[in-house]
Amino acid sequence: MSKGAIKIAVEGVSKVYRTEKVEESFVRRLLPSRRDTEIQVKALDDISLQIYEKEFVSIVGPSGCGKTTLLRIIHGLIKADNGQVLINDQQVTEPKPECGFVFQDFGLYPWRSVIDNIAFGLELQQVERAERMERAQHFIKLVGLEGFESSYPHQLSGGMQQRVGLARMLAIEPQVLLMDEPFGALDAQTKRIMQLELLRILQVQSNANTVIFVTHDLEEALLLSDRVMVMTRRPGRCKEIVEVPFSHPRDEAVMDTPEFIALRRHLWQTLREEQTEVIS
Amino acid sequence: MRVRLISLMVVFTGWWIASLFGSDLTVPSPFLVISNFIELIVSGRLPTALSLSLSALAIGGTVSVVIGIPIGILMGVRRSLALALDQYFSALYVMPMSAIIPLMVLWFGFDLSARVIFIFIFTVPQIVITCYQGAKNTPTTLMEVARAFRATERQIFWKVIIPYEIPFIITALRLGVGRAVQGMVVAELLIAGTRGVGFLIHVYSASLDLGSVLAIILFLMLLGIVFTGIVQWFEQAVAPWRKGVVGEMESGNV
Repeated sequence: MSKGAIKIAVEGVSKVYRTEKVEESFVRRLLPSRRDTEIQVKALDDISLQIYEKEFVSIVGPSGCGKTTLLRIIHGLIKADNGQVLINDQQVTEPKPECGFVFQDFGLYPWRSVIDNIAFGLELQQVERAERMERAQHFIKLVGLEGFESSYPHQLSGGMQQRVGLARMLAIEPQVLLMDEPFGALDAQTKRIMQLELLRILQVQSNANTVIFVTHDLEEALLLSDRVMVMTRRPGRCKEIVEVPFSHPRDEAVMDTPEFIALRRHLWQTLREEQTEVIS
Repeated sequence: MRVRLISLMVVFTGWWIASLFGSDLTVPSPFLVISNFIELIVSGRLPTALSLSLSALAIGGTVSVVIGIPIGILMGVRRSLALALDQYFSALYVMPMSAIIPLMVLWFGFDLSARVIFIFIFTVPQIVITCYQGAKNTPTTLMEVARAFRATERQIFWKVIIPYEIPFIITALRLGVGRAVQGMVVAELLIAGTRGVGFLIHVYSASLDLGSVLAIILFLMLLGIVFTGIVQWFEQAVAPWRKGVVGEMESGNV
């Protein structure tokens, strides 16, 4: 496929986490020194990545490799120690209005009904009530939640809860969708349905066209993406970027093609080198 | 409902059987207690005493709520405030309150203000601590979602922390009412000078009228149940979503 303008540029991003060490010695605990009480964990090491407009990029990697951290840095929820992220050529310092975020554990507000959860972002922007209800209603329809407007999250299944999460993100009409293992908490069947739903929604919602999708599910990454970035174990670096050649619109049928199976095997072998080293 | 009724009948019967083995001085029968209770009401003694007691309860309780809830929430939001105040409220909470009665009398005398302040000191730690725990433990994911949607700090406070806090405020009210009623009776038993409910208990126990003492105690228990019922009704009205998520919220995994 032809590549458009660069939408997101990740330039040499590194991140070190500093955590307090639990001191074993009682005296040390009473008289701590800075050097003793800090543990530094290098989460990300010099990651660079360009994502083009209308591109769907997945990030896969072993547990704890910092893929979620990377996504949060791209969104501006946390700051990188080194390097920078540009979206539409502008440096990210805090969450930008053109980005939407979906959380693995849904992050719905239990005291808000479905429609009020979906309208949350619009409410923060102080969109008038009548207008935000109308816009929320549109996205309720898009994600197939008609009839559940006034239900509360605890009354919904996991799949439906993440539909609310998707609609809430889409309601602020973002150009860039950042998704942190959005279907990771769902059972296998629901997950597959949600993946196909996401493909359908992206076809309809054509202004929301650039996606970064963190997952540990290789089939999911291949089914949805144009490119897949494989990360190394911690400290996370870019190990390989795999092009996924299937054209859009896609459906489940691509999963049975020999190319898909070959790509999946290749991805798994690449990732496995990192996984086994984590285990051993 | 049926279980409650059966439970009440079993306790009542047990009490009645126990009273057959004792005298009215040691174990008055439930029927005597009920007739004493009716007499206390009809003669107007209990209502009069109650009206005297309730003013201290109402003022002390209201002040505790009005001051305690904001302090608790602010402590949950501002760590420095929590570090500055937490230890005092924890200390007050576990301190045997009857020990400070002499101080109350020395400082504030025997009038209403002494009892009001006592009820306040007795009630406010419970309210502060409950509200503090709720606000402090607002799940970070819920706050992060708001940040991801570009909420300001102010919006996070009013649209995430406060709604999450509401069930804790209600719990604080429920526990606070209990503490305030206890404080009211303790204050009257130990600070002479009012003719309230505590005083009435004092008088009847001095004249060994155990039936009337028990009648008043039962009445106080009923009062507690009524107050708790009102708070529960209030909870249903303001936080109907809570019923299904209480467990999840308390384990912090919403």
